[in-house]
Amino acid sequence: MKLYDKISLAVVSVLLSVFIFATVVSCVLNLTFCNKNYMIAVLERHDYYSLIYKEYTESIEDGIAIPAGVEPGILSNVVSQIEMKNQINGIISAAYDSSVDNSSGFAYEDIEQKFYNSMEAYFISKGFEFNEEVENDIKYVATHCADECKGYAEMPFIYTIGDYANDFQKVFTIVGFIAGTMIIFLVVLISVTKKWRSSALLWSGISCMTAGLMVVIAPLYVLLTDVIGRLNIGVKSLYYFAIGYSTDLLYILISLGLALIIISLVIGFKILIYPLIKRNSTK
Amino acid sequence: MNTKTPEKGSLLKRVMAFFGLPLLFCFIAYLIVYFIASPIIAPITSILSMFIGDSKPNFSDTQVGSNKIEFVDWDATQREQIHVSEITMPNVGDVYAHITIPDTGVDCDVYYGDTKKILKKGPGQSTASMLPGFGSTTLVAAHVTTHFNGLQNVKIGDTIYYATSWGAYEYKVNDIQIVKATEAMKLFDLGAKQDNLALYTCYPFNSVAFRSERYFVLAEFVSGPKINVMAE
Repeated sequence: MKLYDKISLAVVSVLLSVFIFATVVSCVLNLTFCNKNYMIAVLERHDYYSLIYKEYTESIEDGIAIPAGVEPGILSNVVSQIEMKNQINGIISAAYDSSVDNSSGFAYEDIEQKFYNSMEAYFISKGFEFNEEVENDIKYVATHCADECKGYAEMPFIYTIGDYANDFQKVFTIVGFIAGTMIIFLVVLISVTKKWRSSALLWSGISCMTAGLMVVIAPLYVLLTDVIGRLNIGVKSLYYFAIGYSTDLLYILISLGLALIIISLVIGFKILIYPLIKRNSTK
Repeated sequence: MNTKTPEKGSLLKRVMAFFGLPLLFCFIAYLIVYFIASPIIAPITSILSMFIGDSKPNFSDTQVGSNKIEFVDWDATQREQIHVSEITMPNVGDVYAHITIPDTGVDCDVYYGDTKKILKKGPGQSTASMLPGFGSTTLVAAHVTTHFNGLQNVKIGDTIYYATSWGAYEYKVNDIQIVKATEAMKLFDLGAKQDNLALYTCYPFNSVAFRSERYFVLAEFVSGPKINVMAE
């Protein structure tokens, strides 16, 4: 093969690698970052609901119940862990759904009413005389508790993340489609071009290996330098969720990158090593 | 005598090419991405670096405030602009600043983060707000019974001194407001486009019952180094 043909094949190979890389990354991000079910699955896997619920109940007790002189459990038991989980999932669903209002994800009025009913029952059980001041105090506590519950149910920046996910989903879909089309085009081009046909499988293997390395190296670097571990997040449950979310995403990319590398090694074995073994065995 | 057959020599070259070329192509591809996308990637990584601390956050009670960053000297000459890479970003729980409002009794260290554990120890800056110099609102809270009880002595026109490790900032009080706790968010803008300081605590100051209101002291930026987040 002439040098010109080798250089042309090398350029096509690099382009093929870039398009494989773009397709893999677009598909992964579309199925993870742009998918609310992935976020909910990560929350479940990293036990976020029980951690955030524990922090929420501590906050309600330390920040509201104790200063207000309310007995332990009166306020913190109003919202159960299952209900907190449902509220969190509702907020995430609303954030990722551009057709609904963000505020519809959290049942604020229902929760506030529950707190009000609980406080009212508590005051009645303690024999307090109901006047306008007491009623205002109960309303204030109910609102404060509902705000606190919403604060813990609503992950920081979730609505911004939802907006970005909706915007980027279209971008990733288009990029994935174009890159996928270009992969098919380039593979067909290599296969049908007479002078390239004999090396088509070899250069496809090289492209696969290059794409695999591109997908693996950057996430591996981030994992090994432990950049994610130094995220400045003050809420423990949120910190561990962010770590888990990012780490799972990086592991997915690394796994796919390794799969591409294995495919290229299989191609390499078939083209380079297997003919030699076969030839030696027939001698 | 050449012990390698031409066939084995050719195979060795092809195997080396099969492993060597992808490494070379990968390096070239990353270079291409770096040069083409750096105007987009560099500011994003600079902004992301604001959310990355120097070490892992510590959620232990006893560790809040164990890391105290050294503040600048008020008398030292300051630059007008500093690049974000020159700043030691505080971790949640670190003492990163000192606030003084003369003749009010407000004179204390400021923590980064406003968790309940932090507020037990001193004023805490909300991590949803920006650090001084970053061109937006810095929101700081403290308990009325302790560190911010002196806010009741603050008057419009007073100067607030806010020393950090990267610069000494001056603010001038331009508004004092009392609002219901549920309406407090309307008083400040976390997305503001210029430096300003918002201090708040519970109100009334000397109540022993529910404090359903918040006392805000709002101050405009006077002086201090601006932080540049763009790529150098």
